[in-house]
Amino acid sequence: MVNKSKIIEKLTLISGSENVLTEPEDMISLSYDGTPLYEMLPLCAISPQTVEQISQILKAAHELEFKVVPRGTGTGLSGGAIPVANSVIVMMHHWDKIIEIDEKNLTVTVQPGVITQDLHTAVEACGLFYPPDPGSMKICTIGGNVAENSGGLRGLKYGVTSSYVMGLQAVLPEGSIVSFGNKCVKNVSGINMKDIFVGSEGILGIITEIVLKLIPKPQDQKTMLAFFNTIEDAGETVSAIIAEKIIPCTLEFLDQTTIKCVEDFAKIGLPIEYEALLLIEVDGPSIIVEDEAARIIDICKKHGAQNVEFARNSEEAEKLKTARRAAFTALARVKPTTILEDATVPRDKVAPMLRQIQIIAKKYNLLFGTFGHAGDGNLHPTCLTDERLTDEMERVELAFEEIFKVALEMGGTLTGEHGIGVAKKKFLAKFEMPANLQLMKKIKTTLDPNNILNPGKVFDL
Amino acid sequence: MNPSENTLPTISDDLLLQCMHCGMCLPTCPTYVLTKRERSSPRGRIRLIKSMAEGKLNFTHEFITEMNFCLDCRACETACPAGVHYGRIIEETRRVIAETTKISYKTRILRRLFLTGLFAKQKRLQLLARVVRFYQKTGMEWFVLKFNLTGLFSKKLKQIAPLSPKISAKFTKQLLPEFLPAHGETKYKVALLTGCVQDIAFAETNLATAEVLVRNNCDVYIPQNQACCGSVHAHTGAVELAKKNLLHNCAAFYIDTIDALIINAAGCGSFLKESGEIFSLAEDAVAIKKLASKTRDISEFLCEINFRKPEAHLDLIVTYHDACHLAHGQKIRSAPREIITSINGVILKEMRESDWCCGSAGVYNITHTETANKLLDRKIRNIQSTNAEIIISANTGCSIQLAYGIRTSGSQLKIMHPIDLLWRAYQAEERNE
Repeated sequence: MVNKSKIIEKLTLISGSENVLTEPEDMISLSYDGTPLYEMLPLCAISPQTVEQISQILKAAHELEFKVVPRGTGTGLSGGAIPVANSVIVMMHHWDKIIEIDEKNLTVTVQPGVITQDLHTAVEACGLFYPPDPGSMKICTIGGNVAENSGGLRGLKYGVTSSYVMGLQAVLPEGSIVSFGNKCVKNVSGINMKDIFVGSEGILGIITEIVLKLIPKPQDQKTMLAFFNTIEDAGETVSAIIAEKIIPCTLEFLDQTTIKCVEDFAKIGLPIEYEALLLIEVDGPSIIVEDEAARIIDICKKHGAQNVEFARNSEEAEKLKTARRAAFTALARVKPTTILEDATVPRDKVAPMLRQIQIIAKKYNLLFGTFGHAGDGNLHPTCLTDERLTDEMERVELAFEEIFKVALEMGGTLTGEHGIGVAKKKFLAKFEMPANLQLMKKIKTTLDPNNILNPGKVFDL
Repeated sequence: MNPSENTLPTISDDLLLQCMHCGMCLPTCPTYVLTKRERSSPRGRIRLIKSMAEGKLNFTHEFITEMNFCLDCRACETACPAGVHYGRIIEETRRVIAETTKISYKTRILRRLFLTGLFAKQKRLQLLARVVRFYQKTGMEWFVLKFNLTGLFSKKLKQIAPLSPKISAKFTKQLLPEFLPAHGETKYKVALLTGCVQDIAFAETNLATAEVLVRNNCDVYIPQNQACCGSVHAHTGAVELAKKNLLHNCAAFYIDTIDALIINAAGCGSFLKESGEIFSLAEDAVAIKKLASKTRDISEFLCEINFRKPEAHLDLIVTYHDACHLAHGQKIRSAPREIITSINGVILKEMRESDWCCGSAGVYNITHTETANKLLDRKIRNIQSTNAEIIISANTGCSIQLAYGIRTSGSQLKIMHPIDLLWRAYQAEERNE
């Protein structure tokens, strides 16, 4: 049995009473993240002020037998920041300093609590570019992005968070402080340890500082919308663009349900009569952008696009992308509960996967809105349901299991960018190769033998 | 208190479940941005209310504090892709708080004095305003502030005394008759709500509103027996009094015969437009709904009827502050800007965070002076960095708060309503003729 008052006393000693939250109102508002259906109250929460304090908290966790769950702004979609039994939340969102933008080395060094969009704004002011742009970039933190290896709309051309992490500092579950990688473009000094922490979902260490790679800001961009009468046409257009060896920076798919919800929210004049649309953006040197845009229009028309429109200016392009980023939450307009997954398939399987989602939705008599980063095969089949209906929720579970199965059969993966967390760990246990799972668990138990840090996430030991 | 007694009957489960806690509201919420504390975010407050409704949380002091800490600026509603009706949730929660919590004797007396005294009869408010005007004009205000006399009464009074608006030299009824006919052909019959604070602090804006309307083919009816819109009452939980005012105004404005009820204070407009829904179950819902459906903000109405663009040239650099109850409450952003930029020579320089609350927020600057001042400082900084000479604001509360901020920052900025600016342009045009 944990002794809560002793824990609070100890944490107060470490960071001061002004940095420890214990009120039930605070606990309730830290009991969730962006993931539907999961919640749990923590024992208390602490805002550490230094790396050493984080180390002390983890050491205290061993001594007083509590669990530790790190948290940024709580926008994750797999439950990474949701408290577990007997846990203390370590809040990192106030670690929000951009330490250095190094224009000579094209790197930026940040604390983990920096908001992703603030980072974009800061580096773009120097003519530089940090591509990963998760849907929640207005409020999610870089630390969370690294822990979940987040993607975004630009993943197709520019990759995901892991493509930009050059180095990081972390506090390990037992309290030691490690730092791997640095500003060196080439660095093979020992085992590539930094990448173990990228996408570790907060179970291997608490990330305290990150060095990120930057690239020059693309000179020009062109954004367009293509409308289709069938989902298949849109899906085949995606595969055709890639097969033509064009890599747009963004190639997003929205089905009719999603289009309607997004338009209802953003009111940007999207036509709602089409069954699907593609939001496509190409960027780079102007001359190439022009050429690629023209070729993409040809391909769209050849594959049944009813209409192709250009954004008139960068403001309009930004509006379109912002509206797309709101798609997930906008779908919540339809039904009380919105459950989103991110089953991902190789790019040539986008059309068949979209078809399968439709078939499965019909089979289980469920309403789905599907959108996603079609260009990189990362789809977001989203079930619009009501958590109060037990019978329907059972069907939702079966439907998602089938979607995952189909995606894996096509050579896909359970999750493209959201992580396993609590929401998908039973599917990981079911579908992952036993040897793979065993290795993951071995790494976890080596670093965290007492299972202190974010236990019960990704897998159960 | 027993949690089972704390059910919030009118906040439906559906209303609360609409929030899927994605967090998109966080960066737009002033109280969250200032504190970085999740419970002070819209997402956090909704979860607290949900916990209350489910009986998991008691009606605690902290809960009440948190609900009252919210500005009700509704920036979160604009940001929310899921379309959560946060304003309705928080206002209904506050109503229940007002009904169920024991408030101190002093507060009760003060509240009664305000709601059934001052704000019930405009004459009483005008009387008080005359006293304040005398105080401001005779130099007594300077004397009192200089020698910290308010501080002798209470710390709070000292804090809030400088917030009081500059009282107009004349009130609306001294400036306007009860009826003004349209210049030329009458196309629309409209009534004008002169407001309570608007009437004593910005009577000139009421004059400008009427003058602009008659120059746009409107007969304008300005009944002197009109009452306060009721928002002050509703927002402090006195819902029955609010309803009484609404029904009084249905009659006073002859709501059946007019084409529109024109409002030039965003707070009043927002409340009136929502009143149909708030009182949808009331006995007199039909009349209130009609009042709600005919309510138009002045900028909104002028753009709807394609107002006449002035020909005069005004050489001015202005910036525009989006009042919360216009931008977030009524979703009106482009209409005031359209009016401003319709005037030749006027340059509109947009400020950063134009749709951030200035801290006024009803009586928030009185109840939460410190937080309000932080927001005001932020707003004034954003205004000053535009180098504009005039700040345009379409809400009484904001204008008073901004005036206070300008005074304390020692700036020379002037405050105008969009309609003041348009009236100035019409006047310049008529002088030229």
